[in-house]
Amino acid sequence: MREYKIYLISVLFVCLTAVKLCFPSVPARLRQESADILYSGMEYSQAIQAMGRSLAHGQLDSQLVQVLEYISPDGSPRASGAIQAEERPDRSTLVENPDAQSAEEESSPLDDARLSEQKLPDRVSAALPHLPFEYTKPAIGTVSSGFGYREDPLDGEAAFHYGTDIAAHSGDSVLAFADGTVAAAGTDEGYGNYYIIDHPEGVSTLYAHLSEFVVREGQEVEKGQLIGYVGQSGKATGPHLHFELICQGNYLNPEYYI
Amino acid sequence: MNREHFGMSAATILLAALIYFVADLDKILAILVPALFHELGHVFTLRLLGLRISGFRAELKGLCIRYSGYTGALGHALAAAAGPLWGLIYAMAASLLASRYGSTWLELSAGVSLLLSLFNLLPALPLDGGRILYALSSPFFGEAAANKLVNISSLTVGTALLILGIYLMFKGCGLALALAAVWLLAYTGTEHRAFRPREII
Repeated sequence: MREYKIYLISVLFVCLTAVKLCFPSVPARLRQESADILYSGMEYSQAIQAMGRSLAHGQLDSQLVQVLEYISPDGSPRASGAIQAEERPDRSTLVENPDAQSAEEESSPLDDARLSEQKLPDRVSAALPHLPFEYTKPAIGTVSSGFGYREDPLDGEAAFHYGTDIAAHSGDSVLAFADGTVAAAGTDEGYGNYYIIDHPEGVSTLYAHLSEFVVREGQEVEKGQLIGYVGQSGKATGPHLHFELICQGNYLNPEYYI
Repeated sequence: MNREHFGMSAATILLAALIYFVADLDKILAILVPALFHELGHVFTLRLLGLRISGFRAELKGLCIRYSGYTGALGHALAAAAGPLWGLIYAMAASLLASRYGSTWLELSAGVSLLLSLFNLLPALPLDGGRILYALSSPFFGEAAANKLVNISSLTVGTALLILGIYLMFKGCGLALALAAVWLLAYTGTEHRAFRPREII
């Protein structure tokens, strides 16, 4: 390559670096626009990453099945996007107990839930309020671990289990409990990939240990809509759906509703 | 090796500059590192077969490695297959490392390497798969028939990809695959006439 060409290229890249560092909004906007054209907002990199991840676990075939399902004519446009929201949403609106956010300095939307797992069973309600909307079972399977005190399957200590575990196969569909809005889609050490969906009348549901996301934060979902796939992300001993039902800040026993 | 052995077309420089400007550095690296492994696979195999590499040139269709010497059809096929093979090995290794150390970047680059390798194995001409098909079919059918076979295969693959790409575009998945298909079809036409032994990305 000729000398002058190398100089020209160097100058070009130095200039671009300078612009990129000084005006980061310019490449960010261009990136957004080109992503809209090339991918229409599809999270290809998440899907590719999921493929890379499943390669080592020998689950590539199920990934490919999902890709095929998703490009099939009746597939949902985002069925295998493995979409993950990066920011964790605020869950404080969900559980209206101010003491919940006490000593812990780390603030995660699930902190109050995690705290409650240790010592706040007072936010648990044994009531069986009538839910003024239609709802459905979020996954097909049997209840493998119910609501209430139990021996923690991971460390053997007694702990309150704030939800119901539905044993299912990895990759089984997870459906929205009722109509609502996805209030949170995130990843947590314990819950793994989780969703929180807000329903009418102050009712929310939480779906944890998902292998994949299908809908996005802020998206409206209908009762029975596919929102994700069963997995064992986070702290789990096997593939299952951990499902919590929260009404006006109190944890209800989901078994009565599914 | 002196500087004349490395070349880059102006269009490639501009495209690289644009991608460099727009994309995130970690995403760029997640593509460049697998691509590097892919090319190293070609280079090492060519060396191993005793072929002389005379230069590299980055073009819009990929990195062309010019080499001279003759090793027989199997050698050419091996040299072409080595890129995707190394890519698959890299994907597996990166995926295993990622599951051990929990690196999302390694997961991403493993996925990219996997896709890159599989795409390159498609039996269409600017890609390695087309070269393998040519190298393996020419001793049986003769060069003219092999050329014809590869042309038909390239056009079939390109057209199928284009149809799938347009379908996905209307399904709201963006232009990505359609563009890849156009790229493939554009270079299929330029490649088949003077088929010279050289390898591409």
